[in-house]
Amino acid sequence: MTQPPLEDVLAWCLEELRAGRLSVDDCLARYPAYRAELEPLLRAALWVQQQEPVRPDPAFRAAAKTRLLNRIRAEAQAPTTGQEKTPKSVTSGLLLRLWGWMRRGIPIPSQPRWRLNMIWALILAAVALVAGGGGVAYASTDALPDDTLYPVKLLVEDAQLLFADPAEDLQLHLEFAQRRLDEALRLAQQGQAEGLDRAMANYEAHVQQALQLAQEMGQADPQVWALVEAQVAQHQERLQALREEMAQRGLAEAQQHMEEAQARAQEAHEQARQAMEAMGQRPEGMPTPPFGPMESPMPGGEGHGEGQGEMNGQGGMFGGQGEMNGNGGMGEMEGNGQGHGEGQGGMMTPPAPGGQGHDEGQGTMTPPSPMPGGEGDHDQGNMTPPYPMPTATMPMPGSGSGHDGGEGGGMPGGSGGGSGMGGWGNSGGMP
Amino acid sequence: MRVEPTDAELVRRSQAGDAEAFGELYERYVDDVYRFFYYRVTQPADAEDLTEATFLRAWRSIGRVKADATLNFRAWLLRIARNLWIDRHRTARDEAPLDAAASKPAATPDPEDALLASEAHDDLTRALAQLPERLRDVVLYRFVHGLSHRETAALLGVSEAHVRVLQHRALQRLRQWLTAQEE
Repeated sequence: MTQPPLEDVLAWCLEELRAGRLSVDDCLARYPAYRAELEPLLRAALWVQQQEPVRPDPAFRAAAKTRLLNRIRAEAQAPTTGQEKTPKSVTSGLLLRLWGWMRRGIPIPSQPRWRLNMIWALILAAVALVAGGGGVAYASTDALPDDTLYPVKLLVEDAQLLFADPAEDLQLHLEFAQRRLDEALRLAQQGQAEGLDRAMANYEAHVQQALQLAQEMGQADPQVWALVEAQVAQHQERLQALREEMAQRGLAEAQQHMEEAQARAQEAHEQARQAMEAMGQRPEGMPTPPFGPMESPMPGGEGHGEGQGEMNGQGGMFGGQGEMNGNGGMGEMEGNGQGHGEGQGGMMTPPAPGGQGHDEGQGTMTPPSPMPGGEGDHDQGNMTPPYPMPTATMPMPGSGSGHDGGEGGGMPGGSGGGSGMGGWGNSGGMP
Repeated sequence: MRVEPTDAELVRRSQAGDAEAFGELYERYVDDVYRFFYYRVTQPADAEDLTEATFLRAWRSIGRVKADATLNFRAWLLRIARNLWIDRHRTARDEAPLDAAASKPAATPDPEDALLASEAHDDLTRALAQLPERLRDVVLYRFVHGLSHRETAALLGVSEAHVRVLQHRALQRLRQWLTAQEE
């Protein structure tokens, strides 16, 4: 019988302790092999929990509440501030109207809706094709929100959406959402505040459309939600990078849109997770007891970290899904320490010997080397594949995102982790 | 007997413009938000400013909250706090390092309480000071705020598996620090 990784045992014990179902001794008795390592870690966690909780000064608490409520009431009276409830549009001006008419039909009662939709579809397509045929559409692909050609870019996207079937529609909305974030990031890198809010609002609108489509399509198809989850996870990475870039450059103007876009992404991600869990497509976040006999597919002393792996089978780590069947040869652990890998579609190489790291991504990614000394942060953007792209169960975007964290500067006995889209699995580590 | 309204109910009322309902949410979560900042800044006054700013931002964004049974208002609020912190922290590179916070005064007004609290909090503050930011975040979310692995993962934008790895590393570091204190 193979022991699960220590971090998973630790996580499970902590949850059990928190729920009051087990004591420290119970946990240790359940995992005698980990007793020496586990006990001090559990005690350290308990020590933090036992620290006196800090509370704000009551005088501040009361005064801040009064100030806050006064401010809220003042803003509620001012029409230009306060809550924003206007739904975001995918496009604006003429494009917005065209889009609305196409979706809902022109509000002329004497005409059948389908016919009017068709008319507008043809008009829009013709415009897009003419623009495209003249090279304008191509030229517009790099346009940013304040560029002259930007409306053409949106028009071409609208035309694409128009002729797509629902599955393609979903993918396109997610792709265009990502495009808006890329544009926003480019604007932020150039220190331009103008256009940021537009890109962010457009991002939100695309995500909202994607969610609606997923709800319509995804009732019985977990892959729909897997696509949403994977893509939105990328969005979240990009949003984080954008937020940091904006903060660095002092671009405070679009902060509220940023906030809302992040909330929207989080909501979409959570919705996708819940839908997938409801369909039994992935394990619940926390391992479920009892550990009992655990069959880890990865023997503890070898540490295979697999990048590509279709998840099949049950009964892996913690009784959930955990076995990885895939092409694992490329991702064999070479390092000292534990490997923890999960993934699909990505070719992942665990951190090099001597480091600790965690990589996660989607698409093909080249994990950076572990960073010596200190905790690593995020890397994101396009990643150059060193290997041929493995087969994926769904269309993979051309960009990948990942975290890499490294610490310890070449210390033996580190740990590494990897995760990719869709698959779940764990690998044991080298002693 | 008065039944306490749920967060979702208060959010719905807030969305309709009810400032008092938002005030109730403030009462429920102000400690959480304050704690979020307390362990990251050098002065309690900064934590107070940021706490206030968080609630103001929350009010301005509350129209976007989906006020149903799935609502986790605390996690949403902590995300706003985290975003605000990132914004402030990145723009103020000259922010003093966390370890300078070890000597900060306690926020409690009573001198005796303040002294006791200061001693207790200083231990944790000092312990957290030797952790890299991401590990510190995990410790705070998991053991100070009491968030689940899933909630922590959502806030940090990483997988739950990654949170478990980070948690393990953070506790190892903390354990080393505690051992060193005992010696």
